[in-house]
Amino acid sequence: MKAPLRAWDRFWFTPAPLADLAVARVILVCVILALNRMSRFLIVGRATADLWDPVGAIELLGLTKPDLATMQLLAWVTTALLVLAGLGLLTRVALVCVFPLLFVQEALVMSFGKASHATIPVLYLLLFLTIAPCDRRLSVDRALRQALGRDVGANESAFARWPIELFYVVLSGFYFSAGLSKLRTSGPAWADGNTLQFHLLQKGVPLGLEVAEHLWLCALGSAAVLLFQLGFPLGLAPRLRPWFLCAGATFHLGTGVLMDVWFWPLPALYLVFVPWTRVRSRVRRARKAVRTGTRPGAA
Amino acid sequence: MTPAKALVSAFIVLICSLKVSEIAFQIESFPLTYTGVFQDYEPPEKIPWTYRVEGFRGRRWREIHPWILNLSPGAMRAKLGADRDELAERCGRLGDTLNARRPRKLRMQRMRVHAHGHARPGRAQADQLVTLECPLDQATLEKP
Repeated sequence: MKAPLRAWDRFWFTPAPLADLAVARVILVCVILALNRMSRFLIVGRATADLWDPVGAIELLGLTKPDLATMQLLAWVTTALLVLAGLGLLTRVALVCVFPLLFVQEALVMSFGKASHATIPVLYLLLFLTIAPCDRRLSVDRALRQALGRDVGANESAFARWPIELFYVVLSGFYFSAGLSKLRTSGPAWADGNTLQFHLLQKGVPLGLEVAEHLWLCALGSAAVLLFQLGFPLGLAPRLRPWFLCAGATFHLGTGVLMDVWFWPLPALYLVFVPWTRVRSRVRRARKAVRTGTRPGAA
Repeated sequence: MTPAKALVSAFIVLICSLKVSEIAFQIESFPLTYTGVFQDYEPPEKIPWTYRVEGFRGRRWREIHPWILNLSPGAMRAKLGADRDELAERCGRLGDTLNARRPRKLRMQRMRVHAHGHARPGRAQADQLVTLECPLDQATLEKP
């Protein structure tokens, strides 16, 4: 195998714990359920036809604006499938069915003149987990296989790493293009503070209005946003990733507190990057050390 | 490389290519997005405006919140647009939308929009307040 191919194989297909992938599945399902709350897409059924401006995907599928009853039915089916996927019962079937349903509902809700960028990476992760073996741990399916005396396989898989890494690539593209579009459209002047001040005044959140009083603070915040967004792809290097995830969480908290723009599903999904298996074994070691009175990590 | 790995690799390449295309060609068509948010430069002399829409019914003015129109605040703002020359007309269209789905006695007889221009701190500007009457479609208003 040639060196680039080996590097490719190492990056995407180094065996990783299946439990981490299963935790990612549970986190994703919880985020989607909390985001949708059975009612997010009902707006499509309630809105009048003159506000309807279908996105390309809906036109391509030849769909018309559904009525409220259809959207309510879709919400029930989607929720039921998500609960199945979360529990890990008929996991793959549930994921394969729920992905197109959510895709169409997202497209429908975006057919009213406002793009909701933050939910698009959520769909990507759902697609990746649909393809990946995320049902092999923490699932009723696994418990049933075990009860029937069937082989439940190894704890690690060469296909457990790529969905998480590819999701980081998707997030990198998301943030990087946001930063690049600012530079392309406005140049470095975007970070002089005037643009952020404008939006803080327009949003009118009390804390944001306080910040808007100080142009230097707006300039500092703008520069930090540009650095974070353009630098996010550097987190593809595992050692730098925690820093960029912390910066991302701070960024989203900032837009929420100062501008009332809450893109919470994205920082919530940062949890899929936590190496849960490693965290669990460290906690166990620490507990054991406390019980036996030895120093954690001491041989 | 196993066939399964080759297939997943092809999928990874496809996703990465999509992301690169979005960025390179600034594609904004669901599910592709280049996340172009807040990217326009807002010069210091430009005043940010906020809007409050009201409807008149039953002898009093009532605020028309975005949720009444089944819109998010951002979507309502997008419907009102940034151009103040078209603001009254666009606001009227929102009123027509609201009236079209309401029974006659619950329709708004009149609509108006209060526009508030926020002066930039540290600049010789003053807050501006403008109220515009929004033209409503009489046919929609009187439809049985």
